[in-house]
Amino acid sequence: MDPIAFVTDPVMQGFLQATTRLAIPIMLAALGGMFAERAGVLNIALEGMMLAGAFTGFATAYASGSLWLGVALGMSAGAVIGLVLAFYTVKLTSNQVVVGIAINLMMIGATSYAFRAIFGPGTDAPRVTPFPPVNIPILADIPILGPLFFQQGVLVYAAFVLIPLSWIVMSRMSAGMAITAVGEHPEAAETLGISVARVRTLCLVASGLIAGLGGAFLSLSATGLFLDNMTAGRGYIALAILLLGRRNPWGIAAAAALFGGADAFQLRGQGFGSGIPYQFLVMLPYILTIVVLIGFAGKGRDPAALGRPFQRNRAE
Amino acid sequence: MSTDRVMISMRGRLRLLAALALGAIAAPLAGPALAADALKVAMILPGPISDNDWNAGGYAGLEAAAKNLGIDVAYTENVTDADAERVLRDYASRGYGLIFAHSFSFGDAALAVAEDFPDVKFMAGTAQHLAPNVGTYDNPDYQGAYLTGMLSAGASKSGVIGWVGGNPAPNMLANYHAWVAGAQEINPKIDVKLSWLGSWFDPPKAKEAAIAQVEQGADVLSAQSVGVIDAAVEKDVLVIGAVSDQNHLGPKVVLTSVLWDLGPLVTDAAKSVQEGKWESKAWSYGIKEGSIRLAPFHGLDAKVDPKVLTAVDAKFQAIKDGQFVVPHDTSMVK
Repeated sequence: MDPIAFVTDPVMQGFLQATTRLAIPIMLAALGGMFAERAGVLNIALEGMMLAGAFTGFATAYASGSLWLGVALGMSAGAVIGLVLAFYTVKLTSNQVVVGIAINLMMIGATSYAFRAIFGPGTDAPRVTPFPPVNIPILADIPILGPLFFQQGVLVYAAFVLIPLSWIVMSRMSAGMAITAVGEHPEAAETLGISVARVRTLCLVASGLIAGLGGAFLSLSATGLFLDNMTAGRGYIALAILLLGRRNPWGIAAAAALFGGADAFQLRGQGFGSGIPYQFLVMLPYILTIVVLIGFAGKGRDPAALGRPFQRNRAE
Repeated sequence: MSTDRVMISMRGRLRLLAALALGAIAAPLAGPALAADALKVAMILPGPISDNDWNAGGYAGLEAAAKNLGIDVAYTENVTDADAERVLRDYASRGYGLIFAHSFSFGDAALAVAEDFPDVKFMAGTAQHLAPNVGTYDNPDYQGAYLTGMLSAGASKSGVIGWVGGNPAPNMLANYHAWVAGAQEINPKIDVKLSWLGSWFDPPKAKEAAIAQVEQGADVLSAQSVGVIDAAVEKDVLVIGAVSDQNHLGPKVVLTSVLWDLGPLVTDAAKSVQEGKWESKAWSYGIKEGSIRLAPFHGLDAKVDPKVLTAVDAKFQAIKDGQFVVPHDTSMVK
């Protein structure tokens, strides 16, 4: 057999395309989580932010007929959740885990209710036409890299741009230094004139914007519909991807690609009639994530102030 | 002095308010007591009633019964298996005379609650066994699936067809096996791809699973999960819809849909309770009872061999007349 043939095989091409499509929403949520965690706030609410983005994005696109307006408002909805989270965790210094879980539970109910209120419970579910895949000329024809990176919908390209952008912000700009300082030693940052409250609030808003984009991707690019709780736990697995990627944009992209690749593989594995019980195939991406996480355990270090609320006038 | 008067009048106002509040609470309580015989029907569902599938079908059936008989109905959706017994008990103790436990996974809960409420009738969307006040019912869409299996094989050019479902529940397995049997009647060498998602509601994943099947050669799909039709539209392959006529989701690709109307079953069950004739049995309303039908082709029948179309029509009649019984196989797929 021609050793190059498998690269251009349609099944292989489809696998590579699907890897990216399955990785993107989780990667975006994890990227959003990175900004929050690097600033010292545990963002359990990624799932709720995604759901808000998926619903608001869909409802807006359906009403206005503009996918881009849907994306913009979906991201804004995520940012609003970020503000709510900031109000509780930064201003009121509440427990970050508890508030995050409360937001997730609330958003499942809120989005399902709002969907019913607007569209009704009928069987004629509303749809929008999702973003079509756009092949980038020349680059799309490169074996392996073409289907992975250059035969995707526009939101995928937007997500690709966010990775180097986040990396530049975090490691090459003073904003990134401030975020890291707030996450590692908020007291010291405060003495240097950095407002911990402001940095953390802005980070949670950024977190919501990006996770909201991940949600809007599900309802406007991956499909053209909204269904109750359609994020199906992607915001939670993003927390694992975030750890696996060591809270670094490139690491997160690689970890999400690993998960997406495993998911795309298992969906194809079922079709080959391998005889492996489907339950094991469905579990594969999660097991792989856990196994790799164990391998990486101990090597990564959490931001020192992660999960610790900061009060300016608190006696040490 | 003047403050005293204000105090008294405040107290008086409070008393008036309290009396009003009591009245407001008592009024609806008195209602059912006066009309003790008015049947109320409840349904608990495992997922959202907006799923365009199993739960939407149950909800539509309940609403149809409410309209047909003018009875009070109530429902609780998104009930987890762990909560089922509690919610059933709640409805039973609130005077609901007929309660539908609309999931194969609620069977045990229905049997347990039924023991404590012998006067309440329960209908379980399949259970381990029957009880004096527990009947079962199902969605015999496998009867329609046999027909769409024939159509799928008749429309497939590649000889590969694909079926995507959430989890291997008995209902799903019956549908799958009947679909395969129907396809094999037309083309014994048909290659059937099967994918389980491990989740009932995950449209992006369902779409990806369907795309994977198309890339492996499938050119007709059976959509048992939301998202599959979207994949068929994107990849331009034919697809079979479920529960309601889903052609509007893909006018050029949704060949037909297996329609499921639970209305007659819920209506008949409620009526029999009202008349005191309810029976504990396995209620099954399929093609014969008019609960399972195929949706119109919307012009797409041109893509199917006319001989197959005739065979499907004949088979539909045969099932209706009782001359052909669609095999009901709920065994796990290897």
